[in-house]
Amino acid sequence: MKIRPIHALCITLAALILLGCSLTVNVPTVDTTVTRVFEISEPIPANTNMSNVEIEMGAGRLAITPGAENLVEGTVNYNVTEWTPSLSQISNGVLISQEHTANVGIPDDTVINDWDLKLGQTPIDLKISAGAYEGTIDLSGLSITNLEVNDGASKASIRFDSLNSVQMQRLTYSTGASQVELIGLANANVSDVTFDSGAGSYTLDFTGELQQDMDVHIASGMSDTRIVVPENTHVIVEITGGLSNVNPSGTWTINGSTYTAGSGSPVIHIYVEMAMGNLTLEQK
Amino acid sequence: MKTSIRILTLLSVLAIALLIAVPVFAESHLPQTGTTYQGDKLIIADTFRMVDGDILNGNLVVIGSTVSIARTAQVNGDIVIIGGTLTTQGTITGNMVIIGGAVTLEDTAVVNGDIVSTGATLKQSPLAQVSGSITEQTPAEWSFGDQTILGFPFKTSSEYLTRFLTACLEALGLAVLAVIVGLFLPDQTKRVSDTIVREPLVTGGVGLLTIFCAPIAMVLITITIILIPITVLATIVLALAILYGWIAVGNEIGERIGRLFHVEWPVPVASGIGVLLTSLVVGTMNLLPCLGWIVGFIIIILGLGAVVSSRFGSSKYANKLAQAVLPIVPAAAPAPVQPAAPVAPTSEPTETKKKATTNK
Repeated sequence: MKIRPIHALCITLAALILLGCSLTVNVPTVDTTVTRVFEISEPIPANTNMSNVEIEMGAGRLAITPGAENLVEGTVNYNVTEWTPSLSQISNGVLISQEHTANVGIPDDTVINDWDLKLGQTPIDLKISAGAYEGTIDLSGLSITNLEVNDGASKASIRFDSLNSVQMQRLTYSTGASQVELIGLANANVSDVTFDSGAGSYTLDFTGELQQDMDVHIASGMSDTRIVVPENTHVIVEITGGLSNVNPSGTWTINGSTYTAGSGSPVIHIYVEMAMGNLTLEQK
Repeated sequence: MKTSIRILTLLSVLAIALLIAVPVFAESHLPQTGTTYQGDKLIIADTFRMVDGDILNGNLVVIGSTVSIARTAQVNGDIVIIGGTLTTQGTITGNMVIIGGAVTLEDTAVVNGDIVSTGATLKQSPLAQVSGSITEQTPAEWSFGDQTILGFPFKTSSEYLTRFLTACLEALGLAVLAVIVGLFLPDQTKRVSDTIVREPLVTGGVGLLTIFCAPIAMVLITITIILIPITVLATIVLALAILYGWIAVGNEIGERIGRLFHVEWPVPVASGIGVLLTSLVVGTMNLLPCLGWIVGFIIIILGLGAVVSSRFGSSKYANKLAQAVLPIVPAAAPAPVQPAAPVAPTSEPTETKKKATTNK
């Protein structure tokens, strides 16, 4: 049977139409099982004045509160077999992580991955690495000697409602497209804060009992950043970067791109480098 | 231009990874020392750590995730980071593109290619080695060379690769615009998105009506000669409405992606991610013959209908067709993407020496 050009054209058109209509992307999903509980109770390492706690997780919820008698206690509720947490000993401390296997997909609403941890009063270097997670981290009254957080697309809140019992050497936060709140930073009892961010919404609240001068370096891509400082605290904000819309509220002395509030010591010196976005300076 | 080509090339890696390499999500999160990974790797909403001795022979795409590369680990390929973080002490043989993320190059880090960042933070130790150039751009500094990439997306072109790469760059441009619009008009954008979700059929109908009637109305107005300026204004408003509608659809998609990860992204983030992915998918589908344009057209009429119905997001959805159609009268429609006027301080100072809102 000879195929006429018109038939070939029709077949081609039909194929193209089907191709246009039937394009599908098979997005892999995560297979869930019954919810399991992973118990954590790690004692304070002997013969050391400072302990390390490292947490690595992907998508999920993370809650950290004070109140453990050991170094770290708590549970991880999860319903993805491949996400079974593991606990590894590291130098003077512990690494809690979830080992993933190949071909894990995008988590949906059925996935449970809830971390509920408590930290003890011993001096702790705390490091958190997370993907897209929702974090509620309350470090009030603990003894955090260093804090490092790296997260991706997340919604996280870190609070210091009461004074950190020891002087923190450094607080480093690196985040991607996320919504982050750091509350009560004066209570963190830290002299050096670094906050690197991409595109997102960020709040840095410096309320609390300021113990010493604090240098804060904020680098941001495109963001809506809110800086809250206590009234009567000496604050100097220096802004560099591209296109920023600065909204000061309260009493500020403005000299070029330097905003000053209050006087005396100690001083919070904030260096803001923002590519583009809104910067709100607020006195509380 | 050179920068644009670099971004185009790396974004094509991203697009290919998104469309083809989806099955390799978040593989081996804690690999054993000395693991060698073959092929491109896509990390979404997860953490990924390359320990000493690890080698990745392929490109690495990081979306909303956290990645660390140890001192003797090596990535033999390019890296694209969107809304994620990367800390590296190791070696990257290719180029790096960072969009809305944060990257730290520590003392021993080596990057043999170029680094291009936009809306992102790049921290580099003085000891870190970058062989290529480093280009840090804000959206205002975007150099598109002689391309007219911000014209309406998906214009015709005879060469597929050129069209694909152009679509990628258009998607990036639209995403950046979406972030800016989301920053300055978050409530309005949300209202337009909500309008689409609440009444998709009605907004689609309004959009369809608008897109067919508006040109006819413009021609009729033009005939009067004296009202030609209104036609020009109406054309601009219609174009802005289509663009704003596209961003609103992207915002809704971005929010839904966020919900998948149990995260509620702010409007600028949701808009940026949603518009980027939507535009990439639509741009790629537009390469298909015959029906490839349909998805884009549906998004346009949905978005346009919602913009018209909600009056550029200035009011809640009004369930009356007459009200919905009114804003297409050009002179009555407000411009949608003007940056917000500077806001005065909210509380009255008692000892203010100089009080102002500064626009830098």
